[in-house]
Amino acid sequence: MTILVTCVVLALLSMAVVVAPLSQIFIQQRITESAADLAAVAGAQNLIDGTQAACAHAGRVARLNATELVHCTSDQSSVYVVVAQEVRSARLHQIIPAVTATAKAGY
Amino acid sequence: MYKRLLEWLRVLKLSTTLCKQFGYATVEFALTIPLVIMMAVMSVWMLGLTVTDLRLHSAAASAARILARGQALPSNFSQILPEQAQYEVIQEESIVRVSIHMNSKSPIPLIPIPVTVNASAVASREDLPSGP
Repeated sequence: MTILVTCVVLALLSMAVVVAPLSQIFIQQRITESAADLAAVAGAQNLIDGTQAACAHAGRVARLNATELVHCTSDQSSVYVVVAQEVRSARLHQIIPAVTATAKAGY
Repeated sequence: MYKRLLEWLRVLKLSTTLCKQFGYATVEFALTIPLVIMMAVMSVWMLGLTVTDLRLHSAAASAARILARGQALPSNFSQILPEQAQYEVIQEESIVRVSIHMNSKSPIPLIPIPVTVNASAVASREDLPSGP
C-alpha cells in the first residue's frame, strides 16, 4: 500500500514538474502568435507610407504586446513579421531561449 | 495437553499479527489517500487555470481587434468570459488596449492559494487615417 501510494505521489509530482513549464511555454506561444497577428495588421495598416514606416508601427505594437519584432519585410500589398518573446522560466530559458511566431497581413 | 496449548498460542499469535498488519494498512490508507486526492485536485485546478489563461488571452486579442476596427464589442462578450473575470478597455489616440483579469482560489479550503490570471492585448486603431 505504501509503495503504491508513493508511486502515485511521485507520478503526480513528476507530472507537475514537467507539465507546468510546458504549459507556460504553450501559453507564451499563443500570446506571441496573437502579438504577431496584431503587429502584422498594424504594419499593413501603414504600408502605404513604405516598408520602414510599416515595420516601425509593427514593432511598436509588438512591444506593446510584450514581444519584440525580430524580422519585418514587406512587398507592395502585405507585411510579413516575426516576433519573439523570451521564455520566462529560468530553467527552460537555457533550452528554449525564446518563442517566436510569424504573421502576414495585407490588403 | 501441552502440545494443544502450544498450538492455540501459535494460532493466537498469528491472528494478532494479522490484526496489527490490518491496522497499519488502515492508518496508511487514512493518511495517504487524502494526500493523493488533494494532489490530484490541485493538478486539475492548475490545468484549468492554464486553459482559463489561454481563453482570456484569446478573448483579449479578439476584443482588441474588434475595437480597433471601430466596431462595438458583442453584447454577450462578458458572458463568454469566466464568471469572475473583469475586463477593461482603454482607447488611446492610436491604440486600443483590452485587459482582462480574473481572481481564483484553490479548490481546497485548507490551502488558500490566491491566483490572479491577467491577459492583455493592444491593437492599432484601424478607424484612423494613419496608424500609431
